[in-house]
Amino acid sequence: MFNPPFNAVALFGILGMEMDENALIERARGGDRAAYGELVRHHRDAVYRFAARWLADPDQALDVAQDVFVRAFDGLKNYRGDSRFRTWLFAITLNAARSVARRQKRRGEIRLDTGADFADHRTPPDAKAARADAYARAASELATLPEKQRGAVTLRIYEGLSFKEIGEIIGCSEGSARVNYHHGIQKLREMLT
Amino acid sequence: MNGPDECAGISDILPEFLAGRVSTDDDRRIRQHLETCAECRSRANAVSLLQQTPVPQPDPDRWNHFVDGVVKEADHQNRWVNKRAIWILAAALAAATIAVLLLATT
Repeated sequence: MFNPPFNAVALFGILGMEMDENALIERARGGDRAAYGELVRHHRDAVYRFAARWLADPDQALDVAQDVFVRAFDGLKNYRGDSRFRTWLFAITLNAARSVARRQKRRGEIRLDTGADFADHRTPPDAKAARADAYARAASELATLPEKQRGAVTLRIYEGLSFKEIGEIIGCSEGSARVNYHHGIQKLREMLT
Repeated sequence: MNGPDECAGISDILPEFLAGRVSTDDDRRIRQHLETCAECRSRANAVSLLQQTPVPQPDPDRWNHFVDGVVKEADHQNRWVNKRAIWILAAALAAATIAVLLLATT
């Protein structure tokens, strides 16, 4: 079975960060705007990244990320610390991204421009074009997966979350999160190779 | 052994393996498995391609003002909610006063 390598320095680093984070959360709950700004600064990359991968659209992802942090500020009073703060933010992100995707579907919009922003200035032109095509295709195929599979694959591959955390975010058991991840990977394998 | 359980176990940790974040023993075990299992190799290629795919970049101007924008908007919403709560409380008190006065006069 999988044995994660033990790294004491990293472990104590994480513990220290979580203690700082808990202090910031407490201060933000009490209305400290600067503390909340720090929390936003610390988590905005991850929240934006998750939304951008899930929606395959940077503008919508930015709107979602903003909405997530506004909602989270109001919801801080309900955050009990049962899960990691980032896991809690990812759950809000997924809900917000789902709403955007459903509104978009109702309006009948289809976006296929996911390759437009993959800038690469180091690779020769031919190889660069082929690589950009492959990246665009991977992003588009990921965006076509059913919601739970897309969530499980995105959170596992890009954020390195455990199946337990993924289950908490996408709203299912640990085992079901694992099944969603495997089905998603299997479909992507068939589509991308 | 290349049974379904072994393949599922390998697939579980492909993201960490491809990012070089597994122990030496796991690294050796996964490499040996990938040499003989074409399906897992193909899964690993797909996961690797996805991992390398860059995240679409946000508009730099919006990104630079992101934190300030969020804090301002959260503050604005918070004030609006507080104002609304005050109005609801005032309306409830007025209704209760009217009800008491009506009861007293009848």
